[in-house]
Amino acid sequence: MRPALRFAALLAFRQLRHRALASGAALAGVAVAVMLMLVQVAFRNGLYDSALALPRALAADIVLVSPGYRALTFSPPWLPRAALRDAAGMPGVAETAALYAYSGQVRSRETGGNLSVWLLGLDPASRVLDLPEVAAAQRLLSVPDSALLDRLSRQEFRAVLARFAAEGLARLPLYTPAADLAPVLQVRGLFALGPSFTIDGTLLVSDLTLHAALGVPLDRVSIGLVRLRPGADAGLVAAALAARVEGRARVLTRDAFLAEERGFYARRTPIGLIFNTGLLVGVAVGVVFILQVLNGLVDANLPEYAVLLAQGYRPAFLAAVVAQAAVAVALLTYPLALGLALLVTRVAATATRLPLGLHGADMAAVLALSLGMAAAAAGLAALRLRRADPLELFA
Amino acid sequence: MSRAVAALRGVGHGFGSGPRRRTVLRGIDLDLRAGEFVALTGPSGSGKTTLLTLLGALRVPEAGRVCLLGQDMAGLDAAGLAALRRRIGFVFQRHHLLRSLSVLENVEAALHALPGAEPRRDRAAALAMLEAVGLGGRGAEPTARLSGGEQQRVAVARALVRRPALVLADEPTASLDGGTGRAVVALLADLARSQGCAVVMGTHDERCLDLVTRRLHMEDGMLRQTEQAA
Ligand SMILES: Nc1ncnc2c1ncn2[C@@H]1O[C@H](COP(=O)(O)OP(=O)(O)OP(=O)(O)O)[C@@H](O)[C@H]1O
Ligand SMILES: [Mg+2]
Repeated sequence: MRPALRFAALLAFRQLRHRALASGAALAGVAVAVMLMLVQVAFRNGLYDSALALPRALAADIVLVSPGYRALTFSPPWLPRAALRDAAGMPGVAETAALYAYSGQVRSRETGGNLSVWLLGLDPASRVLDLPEVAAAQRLLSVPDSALLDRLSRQEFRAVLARFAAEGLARLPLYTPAADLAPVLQVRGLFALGPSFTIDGTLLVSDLTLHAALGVPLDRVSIGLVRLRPGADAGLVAAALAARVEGRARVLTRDAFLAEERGFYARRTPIGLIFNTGLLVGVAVGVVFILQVLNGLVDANLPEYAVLLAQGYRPAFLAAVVAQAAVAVALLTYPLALGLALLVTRVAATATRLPLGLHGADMAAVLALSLGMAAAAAGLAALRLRRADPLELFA
Repeated sequence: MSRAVAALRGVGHGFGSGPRRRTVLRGIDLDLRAGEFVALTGPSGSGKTTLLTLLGALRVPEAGRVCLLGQDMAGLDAAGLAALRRRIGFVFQRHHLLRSLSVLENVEAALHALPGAEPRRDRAAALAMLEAVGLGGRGAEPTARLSGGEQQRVAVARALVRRPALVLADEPTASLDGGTGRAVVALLADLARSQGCAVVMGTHDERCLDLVTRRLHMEDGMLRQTEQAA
């Protein structure tokens, strides 16, 4: 059956090409549907990447979190600093550090209103965040009430950034319910983390400033960071550590931690659902357009298919022609869809400052999906082949 | 006596049921032998096409027995009938070539369905057959560029390239002008004779009847006369 299959492919391609103009609109529809799927994936990547920017920046091989911890959002539940001290004495552990994460509000001098901020506290002398500008600027934080501001914070912070650019310093009054005690933060430097969909702006302060400003006790750590000696096995140390801090903290290797963060956004937030729904709509629209191409193809070629049946070709051969045509539609429209998607993604990334992008695996997955769409459409279009009847060729 | 290609005994066929029932073929007995060129004439609606589609394994008779190429059709399923059709060539009133394929590819297409198809050998056979119908050198052209007569000659080449035991032609000249139609039938007769296959041609075209070896006349679903041509 090999030559017959090759012939099926040739015939499918030629018949498609013969009707290229007639099916132009539907082919464009297929390309647009696949493009929307790709853009959808790029947006999902952007959302995940922005949500994971801080977890990824943590300078840790192993992470300790509270047993009730779910994700690194505004104010995660705390774990006792003692657990971190226990970790410091474990074999294989090089050093430990603490990150404090709290939500807060600052007063906007421009509007008089409040802006919500994420206040991240760290010891200016220790390595907590692996972000290029932070390493250089975090020493400035040892001056009380100093802060670094995320230059990629949302638009509302534009005025603060402008003031900093002009004067090298910007004053940001913290808003606290006990207003007369409210300290004023001094922005002395900038760093780059990027906005996420839950956070407007991020400020980095020293742990002592955070303690003074919000009154939070420093033995309550938001995230405990553990760095290993070279050659130490993260899995083994994590297991030993988990036994040691049993009940007080949960111990995760870096990879497990990042996977859990990602899983949180995929499963516990509407992002996963919204994304999957969008993808499903793209799939449905794509199937409809492919089906339109294939139905047009079958209708236009019914007498030709009848001739093939008269010649002794089996109905399965005709189904193979339709299937090959479907695959050809998926493969030929994909490069166009990908090109458009990359273009749209680049424009949107510039506009939103979100790290939108497509990885090779995403492109392959969407290509596989569109081949699946082609298979579904081919199955439906093949039903129409029953109307090919050699008896209609006779006079 | 040459090889039997088809044998029909008491074949009857009709369409519809109840008051709309219409009997189209009654008590047909027919023997076809290799090398015969049979013209099937008769008034419109007399059942010529119905008989041809039975001979082409495109339908099974309601009554009687049809033995085609040594096989009793009664015992065959759809796949068996399809296998039988691979040994039969068809020429229709309209050429029904595959528009998106070239002339040569149309002829080759008749071979891909055959068991033991072999692309290189099939191409050589298709080229030789195009030569035989006077279209050598035109294989690469799209079928739409050929005249009606040339297209019908490609259809003849397509039917005969598979070296069928039986060729069935239904009004092959009806879409062509007289001279062209006769030339196509003459070509068909020539090639069939050289291959030794049987041809049955349903026709209204008086001008072609001198080219056949036998004439069958249908009237009211019955084969009324059987005359041996000179
Ligand atoms: N599928 C069908 N359903 C119902 N009636 C049919 C069908 N096919 C043919 N008939 C009827 O059977 C009769 C014989 O038809 P057939 O096509 O065999 O005649 P014919 O001799 O080929 O006629 P013509 O010379 O006009 O082609 C006609 O009355 C036709 O209406
Ligand atoms: Mg007829």
